[in-house]
Amino acid sequence: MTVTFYNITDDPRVLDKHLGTALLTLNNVKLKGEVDEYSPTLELSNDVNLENANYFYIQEWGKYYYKVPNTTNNMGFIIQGEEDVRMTWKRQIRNSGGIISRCEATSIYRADEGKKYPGMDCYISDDRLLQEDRQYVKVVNFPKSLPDNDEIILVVNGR
Amino acid sequence: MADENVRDGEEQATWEDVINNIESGNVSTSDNLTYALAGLYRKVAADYTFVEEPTFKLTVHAVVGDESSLGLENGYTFGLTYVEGDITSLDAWKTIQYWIASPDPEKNIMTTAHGTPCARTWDISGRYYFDLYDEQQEQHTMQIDEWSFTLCKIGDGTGDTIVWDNTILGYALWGSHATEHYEPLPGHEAMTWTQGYGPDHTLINVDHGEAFYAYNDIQDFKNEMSDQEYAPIEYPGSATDSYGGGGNGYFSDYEDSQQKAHGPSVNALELGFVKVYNPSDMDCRAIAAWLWSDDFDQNIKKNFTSPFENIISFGYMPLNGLLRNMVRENLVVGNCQANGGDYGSAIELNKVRDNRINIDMGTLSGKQLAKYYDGFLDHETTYTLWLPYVGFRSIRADDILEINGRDGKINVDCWIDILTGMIVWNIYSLSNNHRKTIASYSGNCLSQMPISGANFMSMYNQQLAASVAGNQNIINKAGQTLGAIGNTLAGNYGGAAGNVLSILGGNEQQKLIDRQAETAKPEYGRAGNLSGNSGSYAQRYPYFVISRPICSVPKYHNHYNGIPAGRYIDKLSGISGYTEMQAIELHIPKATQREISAIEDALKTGTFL
Repeated sequence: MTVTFYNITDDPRVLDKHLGTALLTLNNVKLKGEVDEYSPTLELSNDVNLENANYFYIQEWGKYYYKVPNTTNNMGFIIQGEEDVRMTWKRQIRNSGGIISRCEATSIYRADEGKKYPGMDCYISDDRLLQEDRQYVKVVNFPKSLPDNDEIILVVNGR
Repeated sequence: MADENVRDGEEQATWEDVINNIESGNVSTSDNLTYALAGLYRKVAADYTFVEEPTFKLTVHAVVGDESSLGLENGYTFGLTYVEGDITSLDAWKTIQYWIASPDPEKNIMTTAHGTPCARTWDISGRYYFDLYDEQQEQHTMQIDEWSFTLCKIGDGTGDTIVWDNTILGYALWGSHATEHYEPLPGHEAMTWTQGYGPDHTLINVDHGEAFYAYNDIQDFKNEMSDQEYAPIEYPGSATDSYGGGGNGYFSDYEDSQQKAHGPSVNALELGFVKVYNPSDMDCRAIAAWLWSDDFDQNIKKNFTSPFENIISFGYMPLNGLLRNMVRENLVVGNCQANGGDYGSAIELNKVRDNRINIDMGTLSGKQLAKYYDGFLDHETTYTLWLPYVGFRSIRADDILEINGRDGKINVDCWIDILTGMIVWNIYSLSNNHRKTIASYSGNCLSQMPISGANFMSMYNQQLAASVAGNQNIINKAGQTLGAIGNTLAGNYGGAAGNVLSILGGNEQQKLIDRQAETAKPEYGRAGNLSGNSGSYAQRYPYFVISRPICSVPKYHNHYNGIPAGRYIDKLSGISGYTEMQAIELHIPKATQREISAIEDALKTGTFL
């Protein structure tokens, strides 16, 4: 298998990660054990320097993996990977839909309608927002008042 | 955001750019329209290639009312400026501008008629925008007032004429390449050029949507940005999408407009059983002199006629200047004429002729009261209304926020019954020409003055009872609040609350408890019962006390957490930034179940798209 190694710095939650320059590309890399496309184990020779690599791409599968810390045995390096499903399936993810519970975006483009709709433009109370323990208090007067001066009233029976 | 309809490297001028420039004064008033239009143009300019001389046809049919309605001054004409040449760049497009010089002035110059409507039609070829022309100075006016923007609305058409505010009918054909997506003005629909010239340079279809926004749209957006007025957000109308309620109701927004409360139709003072006098201080002294007279004859007469029994009440009310059309009349109590005047003459007093008085306290606009944040905190704001002779009363925040429309107002008036001192406050909301009574409260504004010992004790006991009741309310409120805090902190998680908390993890439970403890501050009553005598020592005008919570939003909160959305999206390519999904429909047949689960988990826990 052809495996290309990278050093990535993006947050693991980023869908489309910036790969930067490939550190190393190895051909004819063998898999160890059963074929597991989600968490493959690669056998590499001892003379390979992968100290800076934290990410790799298996060309035949078209999948990206996080490299878990190296382990060695007498035969050489054993590199284990864990699939980065975000990066591997980014195109398909972008073509998928659903209900958004939270988002950073303030507008949402609906391709099916060809329209852009406003996102939630206000905060909704949830446990991720806190209120300060004080309040802003102001007074707004109505423009008119009852008369400041009083009138004496005498109510009596009679015609 | 990643917009598939905008090619890489294409310069995107958003409405925000346009507005920011207008707001910051980087463009002059007279440039606003040009710039606004250019802002839209800029998006297509990069690829706006004409393979042949484009032909623009425009028919403008402007029906103008009298000059005052438009603000036109004598000597101004409203005309068109057209841009010559086949220009593909924005700057060049902007710089070459000519006043149309048509051989037939009737076709392109419209002179406002004085007080009479006029209409003209133009048939013009070329790219265009609107401008004003100062006929007297024979030059374009560089100071275009805002009204001219509202008048000058440029648009396109699909073959049929389009009406803008009954002002301009436009029909334009444009040469362009296919399908461009425009950055829409927030709250408005996106624009799409579906087709322009086809590959063989023939016009195959033209549907420009809204190729240009009118100045009104910009103004609306400015208003939104400045929190002055809010342009209506056009949500999708279906009840089954994410904006609807999801039920099968009629979603009727019909509402009735109410009249103001008109008070009783019966004037009690016309019925002959009771009379209301408005004595002066001196008159009162005369009445007292008559009542407590040591004149033997008078006392014999009073013993038989019992004037004390016929004095119903004696006090004062805040009615200075409000008692009109009174007549002078001798005081007769029951059937006993008072003779306490000079030399034993009759006591002549002002007699009130109507016991009903209505006083309007004016209005407060929605801008003064509502939408401070334009978010949930506005609904957590407490609006407490002080009403003289009633006290503080809480008004629902929703009632206040609802009036934040263009003409929203809160109006307060009161009815006073002079006979009893009863005062009824009516609180109205006025919005979109609809009046609604959102609350009514009653109190008593008659401050009684005792004229006998028994009379005083009765009055005192009433005041004492009212005061105790008012203070008890305050104590009860404090107790309820403390009880609520106690319940929360003591872990009283029974019922639904317990279910919710059991669903949440331990940390979430603790966060929720912490949050409740933080927000469940004790609520204090501001005043007891302030009717009658006590009310006369308090404020005599109504006012709102508005207590707004202050939200603590960390920097970059939206970037790391997002904000609640609850929106449907058909393709995630239509959104960018941090996103959490509630439900996902994946179309990835090649992925394994394990990968599908991992993708779902990734999207539900948060992904930077």
